[in-house]
Amino acid sequence: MDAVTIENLTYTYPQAPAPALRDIDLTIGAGELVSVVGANGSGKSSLCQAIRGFIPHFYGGELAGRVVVDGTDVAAQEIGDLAGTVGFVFQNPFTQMSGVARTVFGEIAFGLENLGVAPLEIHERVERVLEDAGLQELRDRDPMQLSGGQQQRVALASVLVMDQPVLVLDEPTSQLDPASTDGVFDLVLAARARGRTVVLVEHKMEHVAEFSDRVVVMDGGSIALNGTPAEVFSDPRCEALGTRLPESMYLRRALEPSGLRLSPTPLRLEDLLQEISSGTGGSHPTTAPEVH
Amino acid sequence: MTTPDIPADGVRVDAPANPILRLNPITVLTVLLAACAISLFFGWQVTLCLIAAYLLTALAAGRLGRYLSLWLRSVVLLSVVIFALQALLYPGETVLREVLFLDITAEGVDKGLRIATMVMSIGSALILGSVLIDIRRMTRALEQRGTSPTASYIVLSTLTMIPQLKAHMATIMDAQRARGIETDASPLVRAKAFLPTLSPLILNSIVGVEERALTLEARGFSSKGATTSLVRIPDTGIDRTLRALTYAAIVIALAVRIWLWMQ
Repeated sequence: MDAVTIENLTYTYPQAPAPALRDIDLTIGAGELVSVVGANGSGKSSLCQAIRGFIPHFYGGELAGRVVVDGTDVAAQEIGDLAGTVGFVFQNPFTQMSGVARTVFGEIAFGLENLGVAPLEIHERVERVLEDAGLQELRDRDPMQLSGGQQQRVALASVLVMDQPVLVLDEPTSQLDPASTDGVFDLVLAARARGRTVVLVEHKMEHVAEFSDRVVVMDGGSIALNGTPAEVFSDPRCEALGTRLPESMYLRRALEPSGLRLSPTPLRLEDLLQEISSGTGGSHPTTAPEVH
Repeated sequence: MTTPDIPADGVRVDAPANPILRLNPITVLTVLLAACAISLFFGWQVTLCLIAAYLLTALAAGRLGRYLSLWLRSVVLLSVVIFALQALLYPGETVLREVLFLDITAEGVDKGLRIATMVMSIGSALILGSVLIDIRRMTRALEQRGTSPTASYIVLSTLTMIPQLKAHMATIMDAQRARGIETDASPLVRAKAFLPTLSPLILNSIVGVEERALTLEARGFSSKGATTSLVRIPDTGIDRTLRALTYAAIVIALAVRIWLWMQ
């Protein structure tokens, strides 16, 4: 079953000279983790906003085409009511704190209170998310006094607790250190493991390559490439579109003159190093077959 | 880390141990506003009695120190200044005493006393309110009475954002200092350093507001359905009785005032 269906989507922001999104056709299956990558201004965030319904409900502008999420036509639904269908996490941890909760517990419960969930169920769900997100230690802390990484985990937990079938994450780790980034990805992967559909805008290509089911490369408001990480990152057009490749791809390229037999698309650095140490390019579970 | 016991219905009753602080904030506000009004009906003698009552209430609430500190630095200081200015500058025919080239007149003293009493009566009650009323409890209590959650949000988020804006301002000032701009010299130099911080502060705040608004949407803040709350502010029999007595006191005070006017 498809979680997200986008048909012929073209969108122009108010007073913008040109569309931010052009003729987008995209289908995302339930439980898939799809990463959206591309150069700055390529339309990644606009695509996310369209899936969440902020486009056109919040921003206005001209929209043609259709976005259907979990069977709901986004344009026909009230923006507030979509909160139960699509979760959204932004890149700036600080602005994602509601500003009204005195504790991390209250911050995570805020969304459920807004949706009118019964108090006992709120307690149950918040406790579960605190445990899953490793936030029990912070439960009584003021969310405004946390570090950026901690705030981003709280922001993600505040969305995860709402149990929406679709999660949209717009560069959730762009302001985080490596350890905090791993913490956020652990949560994202746990959500996918529970069957949630994840749409992720991310610049850390190692993570994109390792964890995505599919990668969408955007350019000038359109989808330029769409395929598995192996297919996309081995496509010569990917780099030409201003998208950085995973480090393993660059290293492999540098090693090519040495004559080592390496897999065509070693997506993880660890895999590549293992191949180098063994001196052969044998198949590996995380390396993809050559794409023709 | 603490994992508090969850109440049977999942809703925590926010009732501090101190009986004054436990009162519903709407009750406290009602009583203090009524006290303000009543003190304005009468002279300084009633204001004096009420101030004594405020001090005793602050003492009972365990907040006398904070109350005295705020009260002396604001209301008392302002009242003294107003009284002195009126006594020295208000024109009048009955000169009580000469101070340098100024005359202290009976009319000035009378006017100063009236204005200072008014400032004292209103200011003392407001300061006590600020010491006794927790703004979060107040907004929750108002929400329980049907006030829009948006209004509560605006009040609470503003209070939260003020320290954040201060911190942001300090960061910008540090950046200015790092570039060699003088920020700690005379008031004029400080003013010149302060002005350029305003545009990044304001622009960042505007960007932040948009993201925060979207965050609220993402958390269902504008959802049309009924909301729930994990905290309840109790409205006890004591609260209801106090409010009833307050309304009665206003009516009686008004009647007494009218009767006095008619004498």
